[in-house]
Amino acid sequence: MTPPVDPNAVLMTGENSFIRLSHDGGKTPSDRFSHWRVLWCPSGAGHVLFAQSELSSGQTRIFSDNAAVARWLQRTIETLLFPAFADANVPVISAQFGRSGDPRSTAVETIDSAADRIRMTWYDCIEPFVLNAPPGFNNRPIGVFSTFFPARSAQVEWNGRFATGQPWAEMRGDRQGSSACLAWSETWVKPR
Amino acid sequence: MPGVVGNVGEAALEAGSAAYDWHSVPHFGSRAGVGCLVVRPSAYGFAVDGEGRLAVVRDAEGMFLPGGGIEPGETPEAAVAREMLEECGLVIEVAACVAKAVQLVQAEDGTTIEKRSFFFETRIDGSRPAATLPGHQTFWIAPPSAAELLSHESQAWAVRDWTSRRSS
Repeated sequence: MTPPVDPNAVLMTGENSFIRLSHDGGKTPSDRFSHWRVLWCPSGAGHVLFAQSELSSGQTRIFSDNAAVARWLQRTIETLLFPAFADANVPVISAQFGRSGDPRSTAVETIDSAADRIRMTWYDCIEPFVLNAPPGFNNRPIGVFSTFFPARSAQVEWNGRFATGQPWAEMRGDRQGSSACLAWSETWVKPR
Repeated sequence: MPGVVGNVGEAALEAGSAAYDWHSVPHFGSRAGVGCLVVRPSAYGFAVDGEGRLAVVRDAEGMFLPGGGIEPGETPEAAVAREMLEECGLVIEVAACVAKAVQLVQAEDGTTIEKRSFFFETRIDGSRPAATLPGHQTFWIAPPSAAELLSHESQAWAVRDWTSRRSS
């Protein structure tokens, strides 16, 4: 019988919802937003948004209410997921974070800095599923467990302008997924 | 944290590493209980690929720098070269010893293992994947990430220390 406790060590726990948009069904992504709500990691708790978008002229922007958490995510996880978001030379812009709604209708994350107001919206969500990718899966040294709520539709508003790309459908194993997902109850682990 | 850096002479190392004042190097971990203490000289290597990524090895025990225990009669340099081949399939040239540290590890039988660890820079000369022993998986990751993921504090410290001195 499989032991009920995962053998790995916990790196962080929280959420990492994301929106990736494209004008050609995913062949060429036009926008990438990675939103973190960190409940626990060695550097504390907090929120981070990593953004690279047509709305930022393709430049990477990092918003956070805890710069230490942002830097920890960069060097520990984003360096493995999307190296452009791991660039420690990109400044961390101080911001406030808020949420509203839920995936049964519309879920919204808001990010407000002195100069920017970003509103990420997920709607038309399909059946959720649990992602189970232990260390070593996809040749990644760390593992992740997460509950995905794939959204058929999503939009990003940045200072009154809207990203024009669209999310695309993609399979995760045998489950229907999307390039725009709420990812809750997310825990990253490393081999112990 | 005292930084202990310097090239290690083979003659002293052949004395089973006892010639060093290991009390003066950084210590990590703790000794639990009153079980016996076993000293285990160990050697690890920093192997960097063309993209500046560091090799780390995952095995059943966790995530580590390539390396391990020094066999009787073996130099630390030879141990690093052997372990790098066995764990990563890498043929390397061992360069300078750039750090030393002690890691205390608790064995299941209550024994405390005192790993007196040498950390070496290396240069990759080639690869022989077929030489890799089963149960090891090599990952290439950025050094700051490696420092977060390594299972032994001493190795994470060594990576940070080595990285900071390379960039300064």
